[in-house]
Amino acid sequence: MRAPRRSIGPLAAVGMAIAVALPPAAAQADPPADKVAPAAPKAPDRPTGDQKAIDGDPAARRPDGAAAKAVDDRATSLTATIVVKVVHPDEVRKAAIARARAAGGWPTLVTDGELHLEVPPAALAATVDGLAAAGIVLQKSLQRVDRTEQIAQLHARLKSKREILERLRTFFADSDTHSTLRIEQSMTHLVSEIEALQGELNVAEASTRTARVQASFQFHQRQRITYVRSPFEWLNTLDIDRFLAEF
Amino acid sequence: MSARLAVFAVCLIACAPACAPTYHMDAPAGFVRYGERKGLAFITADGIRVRSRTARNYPKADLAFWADALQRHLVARGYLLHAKQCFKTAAGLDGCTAEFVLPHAGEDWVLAETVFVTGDDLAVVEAAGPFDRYKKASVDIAKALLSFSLAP
Repeated sequence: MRAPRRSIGPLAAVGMAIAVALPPAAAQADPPADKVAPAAPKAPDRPTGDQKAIDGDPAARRPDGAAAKAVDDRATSLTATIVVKVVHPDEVRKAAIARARAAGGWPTLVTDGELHLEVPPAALAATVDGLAAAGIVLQKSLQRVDRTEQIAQLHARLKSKREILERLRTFFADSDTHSTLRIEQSMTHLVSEIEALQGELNVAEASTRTARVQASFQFHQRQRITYVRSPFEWLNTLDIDRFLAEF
Repeated sequence: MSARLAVFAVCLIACAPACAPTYHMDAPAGFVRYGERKGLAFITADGIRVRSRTARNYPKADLAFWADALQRHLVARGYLLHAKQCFKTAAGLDGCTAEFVLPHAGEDWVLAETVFVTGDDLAVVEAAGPFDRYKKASVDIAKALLSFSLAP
């Protein structure tokens, strides 16, 4: 009679741990880290030690030590986009890559019409200015995305899942074969979730360590010209095709 | 009386093309005169084109009005305005040039429209070419536009 009683304890604990670790939809729906858009923040699955901070408990949010630094320094992802017309794109491309490398950056996409660079955030302005000075700027924009909340949430979710994993490990000692199998199953699932979250966290953190410069040497905001009628008749005859045809 | 009127009408009709305003403009450096058409037409060896045309100043408005209307219309069509400059020619005519960038045949092209108001008419000088080649010629075109005038 003792054996069944011994196995009920760990089984019930595993059940509870699974209930905590595997929320019905979220656990199944977590995509792999490499397929997750970094901009899409996710809500934590279950309340954890950090959940109070996430939910806005001022006491829990009060920073201390290393956490204070993390809260004070906003994790910002910067992306500058520039469309610049230059007479010799090859030379400008080479010079921009050389400047980026000198600043500690690197190219991530090099084609005839496009150049994407990753540079340290401090070198972003100089890199964009260098490109702008090389030709005529048609468009320029800077996108700034605050990833602090997303990163904090990912850290909290990771911490919670690691804690559950540690708790599951302690159940091995008192469990029978059936329970051990269920614990292992749960742990395997948790590990894959932790890996996915860690990947997502790595991507989010990496996006704040470098700034992206997306330079285009080709204007292609609109691939085709639309036909809009003007109340002034002669303006309707202004058209590149007509100009070339009638020349 | 009716015969006189008929003769007058015939004279008017015959005179109409001849009465259309004609313009003078120095050929921009590197351009040659192109074709036998009445208006101005210049071209470079690499195909940058400049030509003039006449439009009716209707409703009658000033240069600022037409420069604004032209800019708004072409921007609404998807052209990207990247330069605009108003100036006075050597003959004292006020003109405004707006340069637009647009995708054409897989390349970025520039279409520049310069408008002069000449009473009941608008003199329009158009220039176009692939962006890289046009930018090399744009300074010479701007210089030549300063010599634009109504032919006596």
